[in-house]
Amino acid sequence: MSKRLMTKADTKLLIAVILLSLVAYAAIHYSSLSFPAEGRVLIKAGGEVVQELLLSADRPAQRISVQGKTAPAIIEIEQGRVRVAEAFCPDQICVKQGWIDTPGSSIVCVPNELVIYLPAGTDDGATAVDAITR
Amino acid sequence: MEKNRVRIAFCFLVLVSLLGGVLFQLNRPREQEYSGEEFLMDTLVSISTYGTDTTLLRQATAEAFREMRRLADLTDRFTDGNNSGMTSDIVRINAMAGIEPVIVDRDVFRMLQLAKEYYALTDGAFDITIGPVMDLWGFGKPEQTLPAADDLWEALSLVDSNDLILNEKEQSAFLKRKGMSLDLGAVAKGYAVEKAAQILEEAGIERAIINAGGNIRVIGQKAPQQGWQVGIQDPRDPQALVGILSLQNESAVTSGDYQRYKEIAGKRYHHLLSARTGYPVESMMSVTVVTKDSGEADLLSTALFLMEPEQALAYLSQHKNAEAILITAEKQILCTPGLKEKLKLTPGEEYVDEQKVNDKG
Repeated sequence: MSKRLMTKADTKLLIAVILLSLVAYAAIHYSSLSFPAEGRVLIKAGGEVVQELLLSADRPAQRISVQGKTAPAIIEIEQGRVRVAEAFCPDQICVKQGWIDTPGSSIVCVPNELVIYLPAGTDDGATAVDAITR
Repeated sequence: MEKNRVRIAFCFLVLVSLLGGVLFQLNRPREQEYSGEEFLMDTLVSISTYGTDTTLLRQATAEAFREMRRLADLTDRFTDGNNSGMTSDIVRINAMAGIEPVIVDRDVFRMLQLAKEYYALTDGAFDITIGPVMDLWGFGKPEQTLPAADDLWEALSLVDSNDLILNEKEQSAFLKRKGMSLDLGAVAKGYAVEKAAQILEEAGIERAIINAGGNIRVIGQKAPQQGWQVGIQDPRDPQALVGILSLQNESAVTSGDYQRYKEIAGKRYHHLLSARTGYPVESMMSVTVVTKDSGEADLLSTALFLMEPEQALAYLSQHKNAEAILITAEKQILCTPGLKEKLKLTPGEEYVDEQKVNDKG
């Protein structure tokens, strides 16, 4: 028997443990808690998310009814874009806005307290803006 | 046996130190986002704050919203839209028009002072006593009729900021003639956003963005060496941007003819009314103002919108604290030279970008 403290197998194990730890360490270091948010549409009424749908480019057209603060609204979703098709608010700003398809954009109906978002992903790069002045 | 003990001790030591490292990483203070949103002042207000202390972010955001809610309640023009059930200072001033002065909140007094300053600075183009004319048009109401000419003239005769008497010592406001009324639509939102930003800054928050329906105020930078990216809405295509601003510790506010309007007999009438004619001013499609103070940006974007483009550019060349992007009715984009560093224009083909012309001049 040699007088070495560790056998070859021990050394390998130790190296494996250290490598694994380094990987775990790096993973924790660089990961953020945010999940990729692209390709979704969030519908909020009264401050709560009431619908969360995928917004893939190949999805078939769909109309859904969402209850806002004062009245229901018909929201239409198709092929990567979304709009308010019908609403009962007096100003109709939400309907007039038409389709949105860019991550980071939103439709807001103030009288009915309804918000439709396309959340901006963390890596949308140059196209995404933090806000739009209008 | 001795060898095995050493070996076990060694492995134990390695594992403990690795575990320690991982725990240290997990506990490392990490940049968090804390956001909130509320419907206030006829728009959706969202505040997003960033920092390592979540409690601080949450408390400061709540306090900022509380202050905005307070200002919204104080400046609301219609009692039925008021959440708190109290009568707003503006409703009281309007009700006491021609009767007696009303003592108002300090912030309301400051807003009225600012509005009068801009009335003077813009030679009367901007006038917060436009209330009677706004009521006649009834924006946001479904009726689709033009105001009658006689009614319009009568309402216009009640529009005059010189008859808004402010007493600084008493902190009171008085509309001299019965029937006069204030409309703080171009003042209150920007002022409230600025107060909210100050609350966040005083709480020690170094990165935040406030968006009150397109009235933007940013704190700090988005990331080291990178400003907050704020798009400028294309006034004719809700899907498009005419440019992107890169902002830090400043505000961008836009007044446009495309946000609040009503269509009567196929023609659009927007809500930015001339205090002289009582009709919408049609020389520009939108004006975006960039300044440090969101309250000023809000006032100025409306005031500039109500001017002729040449007059607006002349004003801007004399007042260097504000930068602006004007989109005229002829689809010309005019920018002040000071924006060169922070603005990237990306207009559609129908627009004429006149930035170069301005740089020379």
